[in-house]
Amino acid sequence: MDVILQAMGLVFDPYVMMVIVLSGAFGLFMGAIPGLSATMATALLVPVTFFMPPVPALAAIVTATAMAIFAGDLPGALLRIPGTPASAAYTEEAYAMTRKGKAELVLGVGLSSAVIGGLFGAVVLSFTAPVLAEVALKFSSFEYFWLACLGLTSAAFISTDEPVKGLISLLVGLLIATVGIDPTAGHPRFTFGSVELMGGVNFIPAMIGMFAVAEVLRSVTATSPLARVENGHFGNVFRGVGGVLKQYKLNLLRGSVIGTLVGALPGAGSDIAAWISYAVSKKFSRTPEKFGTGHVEGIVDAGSSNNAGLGGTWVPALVFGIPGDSITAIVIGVLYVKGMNPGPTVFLEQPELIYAVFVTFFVANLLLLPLGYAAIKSSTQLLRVPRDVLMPIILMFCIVGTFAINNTVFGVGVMMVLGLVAYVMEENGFPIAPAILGLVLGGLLEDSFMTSMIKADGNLVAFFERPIAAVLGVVTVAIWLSPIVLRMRRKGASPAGDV
Amino acid sequence: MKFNDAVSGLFFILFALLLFYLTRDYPEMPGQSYGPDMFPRLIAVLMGVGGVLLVVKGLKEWSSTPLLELAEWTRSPRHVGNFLAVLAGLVAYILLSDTLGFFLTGAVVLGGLTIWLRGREHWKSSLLIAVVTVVAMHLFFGQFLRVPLPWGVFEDYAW
Repeated sequence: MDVILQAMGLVFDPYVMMVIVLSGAFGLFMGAIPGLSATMATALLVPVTFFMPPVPALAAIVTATAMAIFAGDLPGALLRIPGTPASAAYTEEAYAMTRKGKAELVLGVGLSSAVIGGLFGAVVLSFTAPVLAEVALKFSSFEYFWLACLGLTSAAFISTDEPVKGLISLLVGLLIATVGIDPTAGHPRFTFGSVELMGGVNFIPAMIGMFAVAEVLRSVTATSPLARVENGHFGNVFRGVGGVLKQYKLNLLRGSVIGTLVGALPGAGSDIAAWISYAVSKKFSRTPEKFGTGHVEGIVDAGSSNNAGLGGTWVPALVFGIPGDSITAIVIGVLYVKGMNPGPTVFLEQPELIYAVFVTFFVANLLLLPLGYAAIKSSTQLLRVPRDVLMPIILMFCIVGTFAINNTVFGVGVMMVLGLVAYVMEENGFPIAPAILGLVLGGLLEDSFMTSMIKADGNLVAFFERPIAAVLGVVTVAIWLSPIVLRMRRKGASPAGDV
Repeated sequence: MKFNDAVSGLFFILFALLLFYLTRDYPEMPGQSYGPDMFPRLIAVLMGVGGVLLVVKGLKEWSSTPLLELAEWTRSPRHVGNFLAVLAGLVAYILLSDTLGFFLTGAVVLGGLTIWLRGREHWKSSLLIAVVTVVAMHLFFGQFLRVPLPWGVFEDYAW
């Protein structure tokens, strides 16, 4: 109880509260502009949080992402363009409701279910993370090696329908992580004589390049003209919302549970949670035929699910240091910068910081109600911000933010190169999130692998000798083999003679 | 710039071979049969395998997927210009910021890019936006967060 009070003291501090409100407004703005996602909001926040103590730094990220995930609903409902990938699952539905003249209702329901889902995710995070951390304390380098493998493989396999491309993207990230002095023998790798590269590729310029610069490039080359929002005036956003939530209270609970669980899976975040919840909602609905025609039921499920997912993704991130999605991958990088090495020991050494994160989750989701309401009211203006002015400013922000990390333009070069790499990769169907996960986790993976190898004297069987390591190892290897097994079964199932 | 998967695959196979070449003379750790080259080589092997899988997939689609499919924007000089303008802005900042300083380089890069994207007829407002943004960024990053943004030619007037 002491720790919780201490954590509340850390969060309810005028400076931290100011950071929370400002990053909340920033998150709403970023989420509402199509193309600027919650991940990009986090990427742009990191250089600023670099200069903050841990609590406001983490509070800024928690708040901005919670707001951005909801704000993605705004252009979805008004323009039929999802503001963030997490809103994509129900954009059609939301737009259909707007066409029926129910824009207020769909945004009101979206906001309320986001708040409820977010609070649910926060409750689950606060209660499960400390319990899991106690289990995780017993882990050795073998378990960490398998956990890192499991996290990275799920990321590679879940983020795309072509696992090979996810895998290669992951390897690109891992490779970038090997640049610099190697951890076991101290030999410089891939530095090509550059002193700047000896320290390795800093993840902040890399991440800004891959998420923000690549997006700026995509935006300035977009050929289709953007839809313009019509002049609209919103009446009472909350009229009728209570009735909808009462009618679909089970959907609210189901969406929140699915969202938290999917979020806690390594590699899957809010966007996947929303897709799954929407599909589940349709499957178990009494009126599945109404889905897609402007029916609010699926929005209750998916709208609570994507915000609940945010809380879920922090569970593996804080407990094991294994990110659940690209946002928590960035968070893990930030934790390392702040000297809070994520993992179970943080819960023993600095429990007040961890509990402060939990408290922030509650504060941010409660604050979503008034700030989200204001965003709905001003959404027509928000969606009119001209892209041609915004993109150069974002680019300038990327430059200064990157420069601020090491105070050299070398980082700006890294950012540009990786931005181009990410742009070409995405054009060719290679997802970016696995590369960022690889970059952040590469050090841990190599470290735990080499430590385990030295401990086991090169004997690979040792990776399966401890019980938890064995289970994790078998699960990971099973996932690796699953595409081959599936392919063989598909061949076996083909009709006789068709071989 | 969408390549046939076989082309991407071939690229990663060659890249994997390059990794082996680059790690050829990394030292071994005393008493162990593996060293700093082990992890990069493991990555290279997996990357090579991934490359082979992509080549197989690409060859299957060879007749339906062209070798290289350029995106729609590459046929519009305007959009190619936009793409290059962003890169030019970044390169200009990298090369000039140390000598010219943040104010001047920032205003030129930001102003130039905004004028280019919005069209020359809005140059006054674009320039105004650029100057205001650069000053605001300097106040926030340079003064508030104490990032040593270069002063360049304004060194003598630094506050």
